[in-house]
Amino acid sequence: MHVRPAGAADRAGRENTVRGRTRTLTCGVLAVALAAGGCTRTTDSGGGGEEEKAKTQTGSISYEAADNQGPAKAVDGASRGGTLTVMQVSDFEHLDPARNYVNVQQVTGGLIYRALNGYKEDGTGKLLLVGDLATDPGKDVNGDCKVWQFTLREGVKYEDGSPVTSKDVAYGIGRSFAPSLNEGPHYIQQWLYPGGAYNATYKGPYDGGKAVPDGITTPDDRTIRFTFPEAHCDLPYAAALPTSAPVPAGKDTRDQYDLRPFSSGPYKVKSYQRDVALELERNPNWDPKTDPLRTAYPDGFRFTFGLESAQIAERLVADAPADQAALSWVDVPPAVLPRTTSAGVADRVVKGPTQYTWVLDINTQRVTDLNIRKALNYAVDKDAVLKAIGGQAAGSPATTLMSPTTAGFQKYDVFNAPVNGDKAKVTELLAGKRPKLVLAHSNTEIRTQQAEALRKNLTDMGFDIVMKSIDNSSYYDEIGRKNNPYDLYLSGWGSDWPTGSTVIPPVYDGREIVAEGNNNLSYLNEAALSAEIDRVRNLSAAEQDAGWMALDKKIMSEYVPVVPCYYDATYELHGSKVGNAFLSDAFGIIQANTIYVKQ
Amino acid sequence: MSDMSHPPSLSAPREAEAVDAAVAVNSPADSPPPGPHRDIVSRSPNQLAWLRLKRDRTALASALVLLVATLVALAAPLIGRLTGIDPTDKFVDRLNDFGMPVGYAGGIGADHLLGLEPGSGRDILLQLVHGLRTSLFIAFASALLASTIGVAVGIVAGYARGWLDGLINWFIDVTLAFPFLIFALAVIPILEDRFYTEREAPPPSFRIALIVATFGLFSWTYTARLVRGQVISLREREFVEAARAAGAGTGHILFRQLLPNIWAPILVTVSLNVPQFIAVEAALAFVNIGVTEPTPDLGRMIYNSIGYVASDPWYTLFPGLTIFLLVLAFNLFGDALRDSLDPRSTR
Amino acid sequence: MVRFIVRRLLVAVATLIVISLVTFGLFFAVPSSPARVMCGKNCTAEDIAQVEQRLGIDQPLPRQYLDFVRGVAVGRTYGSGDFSRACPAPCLGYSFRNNQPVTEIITQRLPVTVSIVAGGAVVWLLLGISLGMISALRRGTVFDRLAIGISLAGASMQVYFFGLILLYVLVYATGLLPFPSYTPFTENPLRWAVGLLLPWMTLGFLNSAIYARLSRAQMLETLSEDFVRTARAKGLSRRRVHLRHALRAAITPIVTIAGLDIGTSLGGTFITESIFGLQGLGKATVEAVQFLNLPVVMATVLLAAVFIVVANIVVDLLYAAIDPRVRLN
Repeated sequence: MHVRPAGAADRAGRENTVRGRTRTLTCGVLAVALAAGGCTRTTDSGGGGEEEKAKTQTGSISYEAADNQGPAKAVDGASRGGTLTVMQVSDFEHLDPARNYVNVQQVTGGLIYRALNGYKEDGTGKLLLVGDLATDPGKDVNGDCKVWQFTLREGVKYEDGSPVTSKDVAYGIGRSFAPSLNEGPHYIQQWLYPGGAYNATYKGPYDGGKAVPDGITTPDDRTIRFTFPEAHCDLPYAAALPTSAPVPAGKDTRDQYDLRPFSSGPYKVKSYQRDVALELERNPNWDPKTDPLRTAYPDGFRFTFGLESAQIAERLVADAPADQAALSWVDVPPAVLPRTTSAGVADRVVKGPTQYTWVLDINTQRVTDLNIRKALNYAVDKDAVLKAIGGQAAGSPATTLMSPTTAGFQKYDVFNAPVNGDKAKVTELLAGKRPKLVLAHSNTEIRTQQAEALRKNLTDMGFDIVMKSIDNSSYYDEIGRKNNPYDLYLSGWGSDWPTGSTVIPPVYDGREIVAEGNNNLSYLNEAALSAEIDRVRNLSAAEQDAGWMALDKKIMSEYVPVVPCYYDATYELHGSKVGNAFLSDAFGIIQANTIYVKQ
Repeated sequence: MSDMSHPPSLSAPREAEAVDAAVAVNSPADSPPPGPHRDIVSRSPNQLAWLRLKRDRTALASALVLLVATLVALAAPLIGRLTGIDPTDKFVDRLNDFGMPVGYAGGIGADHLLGLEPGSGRDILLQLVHGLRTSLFIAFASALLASTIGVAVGIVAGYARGWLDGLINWFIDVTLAFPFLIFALAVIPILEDRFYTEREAPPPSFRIALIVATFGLFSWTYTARLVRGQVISLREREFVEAARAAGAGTGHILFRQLLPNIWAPILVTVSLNVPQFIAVEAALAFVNIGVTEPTPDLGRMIYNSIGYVASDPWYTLFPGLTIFLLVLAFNLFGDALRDSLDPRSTR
Repeated sequence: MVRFIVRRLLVAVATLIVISLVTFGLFFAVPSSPARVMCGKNCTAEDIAQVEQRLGIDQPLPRQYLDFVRGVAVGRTYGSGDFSRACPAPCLGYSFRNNQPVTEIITQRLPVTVSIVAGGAVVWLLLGISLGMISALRRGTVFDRLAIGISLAGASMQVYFFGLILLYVLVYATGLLPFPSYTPFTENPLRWAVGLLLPWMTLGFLNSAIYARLSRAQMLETLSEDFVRTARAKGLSRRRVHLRHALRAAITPIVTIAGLDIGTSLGGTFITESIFGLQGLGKATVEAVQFLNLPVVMATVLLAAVFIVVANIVVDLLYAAIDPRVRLN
């Protein structure tokens, strides 16, 4: 699940209520990406910017010893010490590894605890999946992707000096089945218990449940083995999600673990005042030699919550001494964008495309007429929709379901409509009708502006649009209800890892539809499509990427469940004393593992 | 007022004005001492007040500003027809890649006299005049509602004495102590859900009516207290006694004898309340319970424009200046009105 | 005097009870359930019921209210078994979102608002009263007109507008002041003051207008009264007459307004807090409403009401203390 938390959602200046576990905005991981150079330059003249050169590459899994060994490579010119401040609009929903599924939380969590695997990045666009706690990204024991084994590194210690064991990893996965800790990703969980809800049979170690789920064994303190009923070649990716971080049973404070996760990484929680500030300090028992990902240069991190995005952006633009060692994972809001192009500021902007695609979902249960869905695709003014939230800084017009960061991406455009829409085509398809459609939107300032742009645009094109505002905190809950009463709504989705398998099946497979909390927001339910999804899933790894891309185009040509609106982009700022602040392709925000404070 | 989290009556400063305004009673039985002017002709207190007001240059200037604002608001559709632009029209093609208006001074030009809104590309002039209409309507309607409730409650309390008076007084205390913002935040969505189904958009008039009702519900207390005080001081006067002796009913005494004698301070309250309502209405946008898109609204426009003060100062300037002038003019006019009605006025 | 206070306190308690009842009823009527909000995406009906039980909102409304009142008096325990949370008296509720008793949240947030209001009040009182007094004494001069003009302009300005312009000019553009922040006074008084200077200036300037106009009017009125004339005739110095006699008489209505003003503001200066990014009570309240965090809403609403009610009583007492003509009964 994946919708976006920090980025576009927060772009809304005063969107201070991204609460929600609501459809967990998620996560993302992944992907790859367009190297830093692929971004567009914004001109003041208002002409089109340069075409983006999207260089798509796949994140690859590396078993090379050089990549998998600690310590992490030192960054040129980096210095140890200092405290890095991260200014955020709203507090993290969850830091508990079992509940951590939003990119800003994953990056923060990654400073406190270590999962089995992790992404290694150096800012050049090279993205490698390597072992983090594990010595390598997982061994496919029988070569059939059904049995996977990880060996933990030697010498990894918790903040109290006790050793990290494979039993703690197993226990951590076990507790992620608990219904009260249900917000995290559940790939491994579902694979262990296929058919039905992931925790239908096993509900975690609480209330008398066993400590470890079926299919996980820990032959010794440094070995953990997963045995799945079906083949899952994506396991190394799934093991990079935070649910595989170790949690010692003795330190498990259940729903309060969120406020103070026990540290196995370079930092531990010093203080945490909900909605106000989180402070991290060094974990003296972390040994850099055991860690291939993190250099942990700063002595501490300080996260502050409760500022508005405009305040954050203006402070970072101004770069006052107190804010020079600060950054934010909140996109610069439209009002501050023009101030980021001047000398001294422009070089502190971190921008680039992310793995999220924003679409206008058409509720296919209600809008059954294919011609109306096609007409909507001709009608939407993607330029207006984008400019309402910051133009090119916010993204670029989309024509596909998957983002250009996905492996095997091929650009196509089924409708070939101009970016401002094609009224003649719309009129022809509507054939004299004026369909009444309810457009639901989140009630933040920026999303309201965006919805109003859409309303005006679609009204002019010949639709009768009713705007319905939904409180931002329950937006994804509401549109995620199968029987929701709305026809149109915008949503964003990003892959959990850079293959189509974390986009097409969760968002367009009708079998995934449940009563509440849906990701398939167009509620498209086509047996033929489900069969196609199964077919592509069973293709060899080499053919899968092309298979998903072909299916992407097929969905847009035959079923038209959405209007692809824009590929999301990140546009963040940092202070002048922050070093090595590059965009993480894995998470779509400024990375934290090898960042440093300039002394 | 310090924070705008409260409507007029809850903010103490207005309460302060009470002290002054209360002086302004002109009862026939209590003919004011002649003003400082050396008038030889005998004049009624109201005539005197009118004279004083006419001589006050500040009052004239502020009245002129208010008149112009009202005319512009009324003529908003006409301006739309003249320019051929609808307030919701979007000129997205005149925005650059960041969504900022192209050209000088926020896109000011012959087609768009005050430029364009960044992001949406709407015409600022049209948004402004239509927004002014909404804001003025809300402010006037709220002031009227608050005064009506306040006068009714105040007269009853002042005339009733005893337990009813005590109860009303206590009710005023409760209202004053109840946080307006929380109430508005909770109640507005509840009522919209009650009255409209999930597939209906509440019409703008419904949200506006809710805002006016909420304002009225929380802002009558000051007027009520003022009127109560006036009624208490008047009810024992000879002219009331006389009416009572002549067999007049309570209704007659209340509305025929008392009310005409206290309209002046009420008028002052209304004129000083209106600018407060304009300001608080703008503050509602901060918590997302103001007037909804696409109805143009001055308050929401200000809220949206503030962030642009450095990147597109023109967008911030026009609505900001408008509300400042409007509130200032109302305040000046209210002051002048009070001074002119105050027999001891030394101005 | 004692009787007066006792009676006022009794009335105050009645007021608070009514306000708490209304707030309770209000949020009971809110369409979305706090349990659903807390429970999250993959929630079944059973999960929601479980959360409701933990929050204690599965009970009928009157029962919930009594539980709340009992909690304030003797404390209570939320939930049961593994999820139980103790909340000692005075228990204003337990926030499961923050995982702490509401009283703790209040004690964290209240000092911020108190600091903003206290400093702001000092500025607006000093500025307003001195401007008003000097204007009164120099009536008709350029200074008088200027002072009154500026203060009227201040009164016509909005806190969000003026505050943001100050932010741009003093913080973003010139860096003369740091972005506002809160440091506890006990930790570092200087940083406390520097961090809050901007909100103080904003509140001070905007609010001083009312005090300037009021104190000017009061001074003018008092100066023309008999006792001032008598004092002058007795040969008291002008300065002594102005400060001792006239000011003292003029200050009474100012105290009334200042008291109520401060009382109202202590309940939360939401807009000031959000403009300057300060985590005070006002912000806590609005956030709590948005998250349907009912315990926090209840507590902050009641606290705000307490401030206003207490301010009213204090004002009456002060009135009697300052002005010998006023008698309490």
